Amino acid sequence: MISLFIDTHDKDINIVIYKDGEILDKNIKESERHHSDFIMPMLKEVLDRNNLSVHDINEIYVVNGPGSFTGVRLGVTIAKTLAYTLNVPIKTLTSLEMFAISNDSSEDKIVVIDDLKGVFGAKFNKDNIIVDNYFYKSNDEYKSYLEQQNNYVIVDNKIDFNKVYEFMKTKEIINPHKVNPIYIKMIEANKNDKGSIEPRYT
Amino acid sequence: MKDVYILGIESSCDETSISIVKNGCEEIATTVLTQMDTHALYGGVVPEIASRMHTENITMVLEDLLKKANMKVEDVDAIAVTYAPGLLGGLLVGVEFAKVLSLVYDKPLIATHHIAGHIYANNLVKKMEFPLLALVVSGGHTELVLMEDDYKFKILGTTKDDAIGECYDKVARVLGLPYPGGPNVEKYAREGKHTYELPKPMDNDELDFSFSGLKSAVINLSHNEEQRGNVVRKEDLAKTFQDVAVDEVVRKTRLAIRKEKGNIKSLIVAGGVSANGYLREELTKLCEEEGIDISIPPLRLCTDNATMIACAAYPQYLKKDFADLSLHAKSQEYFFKDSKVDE
Repeated sequence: MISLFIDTHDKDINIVIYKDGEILDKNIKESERHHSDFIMPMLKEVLDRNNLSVHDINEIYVVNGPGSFTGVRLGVTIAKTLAYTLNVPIKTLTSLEMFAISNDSSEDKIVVIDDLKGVFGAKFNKDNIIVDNYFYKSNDEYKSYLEQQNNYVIVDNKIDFNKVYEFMKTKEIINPHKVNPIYIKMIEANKNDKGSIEPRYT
Repeated sequence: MKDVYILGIESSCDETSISIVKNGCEEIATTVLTQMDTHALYGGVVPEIASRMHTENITMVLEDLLKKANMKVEDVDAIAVTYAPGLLGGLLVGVEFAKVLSLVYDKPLIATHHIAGHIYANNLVKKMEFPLLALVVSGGHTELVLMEDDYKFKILGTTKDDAIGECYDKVARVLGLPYPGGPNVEKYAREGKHTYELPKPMDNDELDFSFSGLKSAVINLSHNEEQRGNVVRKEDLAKTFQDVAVDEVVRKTRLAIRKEKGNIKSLIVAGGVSANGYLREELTKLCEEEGIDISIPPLRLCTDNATMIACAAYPQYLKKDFADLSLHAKSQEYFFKDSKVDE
């Protein structure tokens, strides 16, 4: 049973191959930009050096945000296309869930990812159940949010790939067509709330 | 020779499109998912929304295409994708998608330029015979090109400033016409009369173009009329602008035909602006007068689509001009840069 994990939401590109639930190999690279030059070659490389073919992959896990819009989009596009073409199950987890479950605190866990102007975040309890739903707050809003909280830790943004695997067992399989990034922060043009229209086929 | 089937992918702007073409000239099936209605709400293409929609839809577009073609990805010989130019976020989605197909199905990956696509769409109408004269008119290009063979180009004339499509879009904005601007200028022009006065661009016999003066003249005229409290007759100004712009393109094309007469067999027209009805009529008339063949792709192939990408990838396939998994998308890349011959 080969499982593939892809995370491209931030500077690090994380590709992990699990065999029967154990980490078989990892390919991790820090890249400020140009993730697209590296992700697919890194996937090929890690498969090749373990004498695996892309067709040996039995399931796929992908981090679907929040994080860099472009980074997340690349990882999600690759993962959903792999799942669709290989006809294997795909599951998603958010970057915030990933950091929360990687931390063993016995208190509430606040997880944030900053983007200079503010933070994407969420609060989880010690059992990794979400307490405060995903938010985007400006730096000032975040400061006053923290002042209202008691008994919490702000978790380090570290990933425990073994815990990720365990956590993914609890997740539901998603139709690859429906696997999409979560963005949380609205883009400027969206703020006018002009509604949305379904694209049409021609 | 064995038939070659190429699967083409295009996501450089606001259409997600995938197509299968046989031997670079026979369309098997195409799916185009347009986001136009969404972007119309914002008055223009919003790049971040376009990128999001490409990711949301691209596997469904593939499924739709394969159903229409009654084929599997296994059945094709190569995967071709637009890698430049366009909106980077959109291009990236198409490029990564293409890499996955290439890896999973073990097919060569071909990086195709968007403008090559517009040119090679002509092979769907009639197989191009070289040498020929190509007129490339789009949002980023205004070129007269001598094409001596597949992917062999010699620039005879190019724009010194704005591309004609860019100019159409700016004029649309000045006139306050809704998105998509260019096609709406033509729509308004059809109802108008040539009553305004605009300067003729580049009043000389060189083959280069210039449209920024014409664009400024439209802006100034519109501004001055408002200052005087006059209402700008949008239809008439659109008509006047279009007459001047199209006449300039036709005049330069005539000069190029005459310069290369005896050498070239036909004129082909490529690029988004070749959807313009007035330009099509005038160029057809021109070629009748000059006694050479003309080829303009049907309207649906003038807008962005993957069919043309699969066509343009065919000569690349024959030359084994393949890309690898590190291929990266580029928002800007001048297509004729490697082929420009200095005289």
